Amino acid sequence: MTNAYNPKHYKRIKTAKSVAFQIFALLVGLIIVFPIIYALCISFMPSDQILSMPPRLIPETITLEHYKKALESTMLGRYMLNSLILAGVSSVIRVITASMAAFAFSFFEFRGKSFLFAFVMGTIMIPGDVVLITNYQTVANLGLVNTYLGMMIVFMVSAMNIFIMRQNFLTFSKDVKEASEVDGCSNFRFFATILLPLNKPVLTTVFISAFISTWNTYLWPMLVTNDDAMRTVQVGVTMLNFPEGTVYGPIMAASILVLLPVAVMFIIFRRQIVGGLMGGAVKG
Amino acid sequence: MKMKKVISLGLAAAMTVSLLTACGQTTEESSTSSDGNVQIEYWHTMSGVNGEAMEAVVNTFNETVGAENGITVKSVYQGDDVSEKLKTLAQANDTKNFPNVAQIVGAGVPSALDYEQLIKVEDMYEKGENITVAKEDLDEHSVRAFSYQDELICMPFNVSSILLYYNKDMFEEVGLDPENPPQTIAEMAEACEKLLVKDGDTVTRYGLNVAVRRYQLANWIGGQGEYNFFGNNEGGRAGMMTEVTFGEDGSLDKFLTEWQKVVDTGAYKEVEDNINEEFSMGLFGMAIMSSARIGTIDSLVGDKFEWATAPLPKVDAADTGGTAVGGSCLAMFDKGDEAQVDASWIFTQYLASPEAQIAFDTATGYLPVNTKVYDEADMQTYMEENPNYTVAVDQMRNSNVNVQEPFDIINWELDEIIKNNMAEFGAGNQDKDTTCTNIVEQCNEKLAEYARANG
Amino acid sequence: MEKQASFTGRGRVKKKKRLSKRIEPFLYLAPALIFFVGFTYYPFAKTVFSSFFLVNSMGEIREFVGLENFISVLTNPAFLQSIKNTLIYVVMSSPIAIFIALLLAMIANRKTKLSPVYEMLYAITMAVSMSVAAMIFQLMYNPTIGILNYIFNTHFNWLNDKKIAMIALSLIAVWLNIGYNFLFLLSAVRGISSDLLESADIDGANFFQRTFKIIVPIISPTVFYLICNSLAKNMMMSGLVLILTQGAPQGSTETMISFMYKQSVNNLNYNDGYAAAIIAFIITSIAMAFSFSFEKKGVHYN
Repeated sequence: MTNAYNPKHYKRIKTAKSVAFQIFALLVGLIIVFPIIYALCISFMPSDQILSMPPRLIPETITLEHYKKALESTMLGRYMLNSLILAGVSSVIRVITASMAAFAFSFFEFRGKSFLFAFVMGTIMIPGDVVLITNYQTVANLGLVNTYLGMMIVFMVSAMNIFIMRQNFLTFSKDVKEASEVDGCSNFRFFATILLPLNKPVLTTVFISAFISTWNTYLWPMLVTNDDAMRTVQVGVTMLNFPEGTVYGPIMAASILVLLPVAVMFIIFRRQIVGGLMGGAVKG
Repeated sequence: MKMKKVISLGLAAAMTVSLLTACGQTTEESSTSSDGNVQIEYWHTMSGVNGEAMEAVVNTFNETVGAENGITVKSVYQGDDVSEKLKTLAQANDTKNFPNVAQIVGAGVPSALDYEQLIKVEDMYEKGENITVAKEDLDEHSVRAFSYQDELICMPFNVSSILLYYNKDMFEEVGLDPENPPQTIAEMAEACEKLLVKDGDTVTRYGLNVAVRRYQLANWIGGQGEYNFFGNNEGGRAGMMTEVTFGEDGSLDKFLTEWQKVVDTGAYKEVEDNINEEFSMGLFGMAIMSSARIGTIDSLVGDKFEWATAPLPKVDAADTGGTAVGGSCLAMFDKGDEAQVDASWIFTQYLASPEAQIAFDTATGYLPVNTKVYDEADMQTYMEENPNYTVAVDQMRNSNVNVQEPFDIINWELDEIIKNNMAEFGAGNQDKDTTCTNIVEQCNEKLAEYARANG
Repeated sequence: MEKQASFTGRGRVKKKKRLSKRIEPFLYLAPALIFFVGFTYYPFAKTVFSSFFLVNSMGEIREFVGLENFISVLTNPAFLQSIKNTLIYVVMSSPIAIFIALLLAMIANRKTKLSPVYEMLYAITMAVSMSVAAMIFQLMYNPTIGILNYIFNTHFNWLNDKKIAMIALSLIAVWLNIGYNFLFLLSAVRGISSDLLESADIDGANFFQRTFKIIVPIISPTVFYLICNSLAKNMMMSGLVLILTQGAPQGSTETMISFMYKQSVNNLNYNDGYAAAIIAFIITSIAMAFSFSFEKKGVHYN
């Protein structure tokens, strides 16, 4: 930050500019999170105020009634736990399957490699929903309806994850691999002790993106669970959307309850997540 | 078979890697619980206030009749997709995950008939074991609603009737008689016109809000004359319905001609956004909804204004058919366990018993399916205190039993066709004749498609 | 031991090694391939196969009908509209979400005292799940009690007007994807060496020139990844439709997958369902091929 011409007033202007810029940036941020703020306000607003005209944002009086109702009529805590297990475990498995496959694609020459790569990438274009019913039949035949495994099984591998890992591994210096070969290091040892540790950021990225996408899935968990105690958050929240009379208060309360822990986790682990993404994104 | 083996092998490998076997734990299914009771699973679709009432009825059963007979019922709320869930289970032939008893909507009865797991209620009555609710006590309208070829397929449980809801204060304000609501669609159109309030070109208050869908149309078609069927084979109750008949018999045209009068007022809102909330906010004077919403409207309106219900306005003043029974029934399934079937039968009858019906109906506003209910003092008091509810009861009991919603397996598809065309008609984008031809042709096309694949 | 082997059985060991070497890559691929075969290709093949048959409501095959199912859906205005809707949705949501995220990344790129705070705000939508967003926007879009019409002083019937309902759904998708795209783009932008940016500053390039002439080409691999990612996701969108609109009004929010889902699950019409699935697959393949051709031209790897 050394500058050749650096008089004091220039610095002051720069500070003022910077403050203005930061306020601007902050305002933009508030617009982006507005829907969340809105949900938060509504969740504390008594029903008659929600139904008032014109609509209001700030509750006149605060009520916890909606939270009570949301917690009474659903098993939100259990839903959260289910989603956490579903997303967490299947993401770990995804990282494992993806890194192994990407390793084969980026460090080996073998017959049918390009065919297999196309075979893998082709799955991106096969929508999971297309094969919903058939997959359900498979899962039912394996006796996995209403189990965590049944919910996870279709999420244990993702071509997109393999793709992004391969992109990363390809930028990995071939010299290191050759050097390790000269040292008599086996492929698996190279993979497990050199490649993976050096690519931690991309593993984090893949884990995070896998976690988010499984956390967000809606149709499949709805289909393979019919026990209330096995439902995920995604399905559980919409269960408050009653056909006879929508009850916005409790829905917003439930939304906030679902959102809060994830947001807090997100804030706490921001450094790891952003760090992971920084190192993990396709190298520019 | 080989495929399955390969998959399971792969799974086994993945499981070992992730050490997740502990998480894959499932609740062990067994027909008897630890206290030696027969355990059965019951799926229902009731949420909110209705859900609480449902749970209360199940709990009472477990504490009384259930305890006496060694039965424990586990109730599971399934959202409003029970029929879909059952379809999926049936396709995968996944008997293990079937419930013992499930609450399904009337339109779901014909597809349930295809499931080999289904036990017809009629067969249980014929067997004659453990009968606690006589078939004769069941309301004939409800019996007809859930019967196919004169056999009772599912036990009636919660039924409702379609009503006109109107804002009495608003009626008074514009010079309409609040004690004398419109009895025909034409009269309703006149009321609509008077209720309209405009601010320049924007309508700030409509006369009427209703989206005409399959449910509403079935009532207006069915109620014409003495009674009138929606499609062939008695609207699907004597055999598979393969075409709609409201085109050729002129009943759709007759309805649309009347409905045109409503549309022409410019005071008709043809899409439903939040019909409950908007009615309570006074955004329109009349709405057409199921009687199951009386409780919801009651709590939303509070003491903001006076409102009441009235019988569904008729297409023609001379029509005597009345309205159809809307609602749900209880389907029983055989999971291969005799004790569970017996338990399910006792539970199913309990839900249709006067005791359970009074508890459930007075808490929710659904109509009785058991005529013995009307002899009970509790119900008589309830009806006196709730005139809006009584309107629905009377309308149902005065209707012809042949006025019913059709048994059309592809009800979703017909609903969409009717809804889309009626919305275009209601918005003035499509004339009467096109609407009539479109609905008839599109419905018949879809019904023919289904009949071809399943006939 | 090893030494001995190298003397006595050299040839055999070599052969063994060669064989194990040949098998080795497949061992790494095996877990992924097993899952792909079992839960993607096998059911997909079954779907393709079934699409040439008349299938009854229990999903059982009745008779061979050739291309009849395809002709049936392709002459069905509702399905044609769902294709159009899907494309509108993709075109509306994918680029806009990336574009907004890019602008946000440019803002957040400069590190200041408050930058951790607004970085957080920009990224937070990543923590919001689809159904929660659907619930919140459902209320915001409500024509009478929702806040959007009030703020903008409009009278839109967001989810019930066939002209704007699809746009309304796209907006939710844009909002949901901003966070994810932002984090990716921010890391890419921060990865650019400061020398390069400074030299651009000295050249007197303004914000937009700097963004689109210098930065975008450098981070093009990330942009490409995001495009592929959102294309694949948005082409298959059905959740928002099934939760919020069920394809209404007038089929204006029906997507290819929601059409397929409703045909198979609600209407038990697997004939239309399977054929729609295959057509959705073909259309998505074309879109992906299109974006991969963009990779050859517009993406610069160092």
